Amino acid sequence: METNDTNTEYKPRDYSLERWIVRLLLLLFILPFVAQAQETTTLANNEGAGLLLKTATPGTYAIVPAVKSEVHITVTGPIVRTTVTQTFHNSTGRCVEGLYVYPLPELSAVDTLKMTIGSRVIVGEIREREQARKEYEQAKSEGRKAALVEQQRPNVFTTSVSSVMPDDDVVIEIAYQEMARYENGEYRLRFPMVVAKRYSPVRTTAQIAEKAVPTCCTEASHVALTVDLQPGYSVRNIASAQQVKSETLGNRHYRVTADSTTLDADHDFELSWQPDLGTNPEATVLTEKLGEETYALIMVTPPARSSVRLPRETIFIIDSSGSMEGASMQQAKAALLLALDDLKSGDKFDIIDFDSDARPLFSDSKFADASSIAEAKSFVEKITADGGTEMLKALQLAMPEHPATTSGTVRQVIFMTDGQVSNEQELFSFIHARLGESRLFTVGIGAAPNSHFMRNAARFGRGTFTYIGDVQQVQERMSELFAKLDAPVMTSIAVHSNDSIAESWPERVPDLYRGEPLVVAMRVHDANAKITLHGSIGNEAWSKELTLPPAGDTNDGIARLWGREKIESLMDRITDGNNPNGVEAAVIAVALQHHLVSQYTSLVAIDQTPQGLNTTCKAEPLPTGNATNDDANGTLPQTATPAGLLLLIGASLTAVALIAMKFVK
Amino acid sequence: MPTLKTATRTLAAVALLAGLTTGGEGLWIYAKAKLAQLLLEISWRSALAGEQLRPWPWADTRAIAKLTIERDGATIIVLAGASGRTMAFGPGHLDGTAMPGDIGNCVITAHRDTHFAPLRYVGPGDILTLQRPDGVTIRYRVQATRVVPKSDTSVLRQDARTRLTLITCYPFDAIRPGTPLRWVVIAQKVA
Repeated sequence: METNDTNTEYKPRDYSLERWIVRLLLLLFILPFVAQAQETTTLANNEGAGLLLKTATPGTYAIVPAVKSEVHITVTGPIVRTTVTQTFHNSTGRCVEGLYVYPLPELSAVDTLKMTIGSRVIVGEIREREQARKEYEQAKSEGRKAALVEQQRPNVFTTSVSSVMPDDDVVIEIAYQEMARYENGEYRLRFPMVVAKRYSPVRTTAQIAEKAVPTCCTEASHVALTVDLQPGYSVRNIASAQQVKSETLGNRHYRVTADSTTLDADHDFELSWQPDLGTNPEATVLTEKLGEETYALIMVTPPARSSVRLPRETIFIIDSSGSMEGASMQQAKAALLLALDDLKSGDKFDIIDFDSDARPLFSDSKFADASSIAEAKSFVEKITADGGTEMLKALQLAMPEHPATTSGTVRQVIFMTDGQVSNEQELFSFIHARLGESRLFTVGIGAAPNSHFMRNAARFGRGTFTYIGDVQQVQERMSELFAKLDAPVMTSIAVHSNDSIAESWPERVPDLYRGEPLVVAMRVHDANAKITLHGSIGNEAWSKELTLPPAGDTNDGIARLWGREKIESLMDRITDGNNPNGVEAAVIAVALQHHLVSQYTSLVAIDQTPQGLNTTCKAEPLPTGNATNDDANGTLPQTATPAGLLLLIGASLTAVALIAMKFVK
Repeated sequence: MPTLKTATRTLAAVALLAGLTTGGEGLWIYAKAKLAQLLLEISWRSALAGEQLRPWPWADTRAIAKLTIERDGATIIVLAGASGRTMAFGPGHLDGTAMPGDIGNCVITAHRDTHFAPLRYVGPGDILTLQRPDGVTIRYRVQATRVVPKSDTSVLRQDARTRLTLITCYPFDAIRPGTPLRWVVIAQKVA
């Protein structure tokens, strides 16, 4: 604490008393946290990553952190593919077995696995789930070794590691894929640093005797992290809170590196980058070859600023059926009021309130001005939740056969509902048939909205689905949606190819909005196929022809992305009432070809060690002491009392009390 | 301003009360550690005589050894189990690790500010002894002292050597109890 010289000269006593009071208050605030820390410090962090070895106490493991971790992340467009290779060393002096644990990002699954345990090689293969389970059970009943790799908990990958002989190295390589998060004009990826925990080298007693000098602390495990960034467009502001080295490798190709000398293991590694946008929309293509097929990732980037703001016509549909009663109705009304405030003069709007019946506010959209907005607000205030859910009537009003929209105007339908409907199919076909130039954006309200309906309604409607879980999120989520809706740059985008059997996802391409690149994955058979993009900017037509890059230029993850999208659309067919058996066969075929874990396929660890090698040993559990005491995995007991702290606080409090009493006498 | 005066006086009284109770609580921790050792010493003598008496009627642990640090002649009775509850009274023997004199690693932990405060002066070459209830005394020579993060369970490793490992919190002078480092004394049985 710095003292102010002039101040001390004048009233030194006052000042020091003040200082003591501040310190005391600080201590008083810290105390509860200290007390809390004490209770939990011995608790194990089970969410950590690494090799967990079985101990004599069932369910209790000793954590072996990695000696070395290599992380290679490739970014292709918005696809983020992470390969982690970790090396562990068995220094326990015995034959051990256990588990490898890795924390995964949400909505992601490990699709590639390679394990080397001493001289054994184990490789993960995608197998049909049912068949894999049968093989596993059979192998187990025959006493053979088998391993089924399945995600038991969401977001945690585990695989068993058996027969690790003394002094064996265990090298585990896994890979998984996710999409970079996009928000506020930038893309972002995150890597959990818990994976690169500090490593404590286990020394033998002999080595300790040799050294015989106190060695402080432990060496950090070696971590090397590389991000190979090929977003398909130029980027600027490659940034990370961690200390990294970034370099430009070539045209639209960047590399970011970091290692344990600078990486802070206590904070996750995050990297963000922004598309460097030009003055016009641009289109690029990256490819990956898999078998005979070529998979193309087509990206359209918007211009930095659109010269004209297209006038909008917004139709709000608000669900006031009985199922919306309570918090959901409140959220929907709050969201709608926010939306009304966001309207600009020159924009037209209307509101349709529906339950068993649909009631429009104006029946013909009106320009947004003080009086129409005031009228709309009082209309919204009066809405109460009761009655049935006749969604079709509302959609019929919102999407008339011939909307009276002036050309060049963007027509957006914003649909706020919990999606509790029974006639999904009828609604989907209606949206499909009547969409025309309108765009449908669904906003899911309530604790458990029917997101299957809303996601697909938005897909058929070439819009997006926004989910609002509770009232606190209304402002944030709606603002995000409005910011996007405010600036459509290009509409009616279509992707064509001269390859007649090309297949692309999403089937109906959404519009291009300011700040956010658009992505389409396409499969073509002809490696020299030409791809043509069409779209309209206001009333002007736009088109661009793309040539696939030469066969040598290949990017990871595109084929898998295409496969994922394909599987998702196949799975939707079941909800759409198709025969599940037919869908299952189709999904399995795609999953096997693209090496993907799905509803019907899993990753199975197959031992590929050449025959005849004596590679197994009888694992012994580690003594419980090795896993530490009672409730703790991998921490030594708490061995200090708070006595000193308590005395200090007690003495300070007493001193302050005495000084204060003297002061007021 | 009488109201301000009254308020200050009330606050001062509250602070005094809080100060005395908090300070008292701190002193009680030290007192408990000392007092328990006296009672344990009596219990230990009964153990050596053949039948161990409970150190106090409600004790949920028992004395398993008597540790002597030859450098300063300090003797401490070691209890079974290294829970926080046990360590309030004496060093705890970590369950699952070797018993004194048995093949393997015998691990004992205690608080750095009470029973294991003398460990800060212990270094390679120092002699530690453990007396067992059967009267046998095992001598160990300190080979190394190390500072490790609390997650480093390698110091608990069991192998064929007869060792004694003492663990306490580090740094010794830290005022907060929850530090992430541990001071480890590794000693090998003297043949």
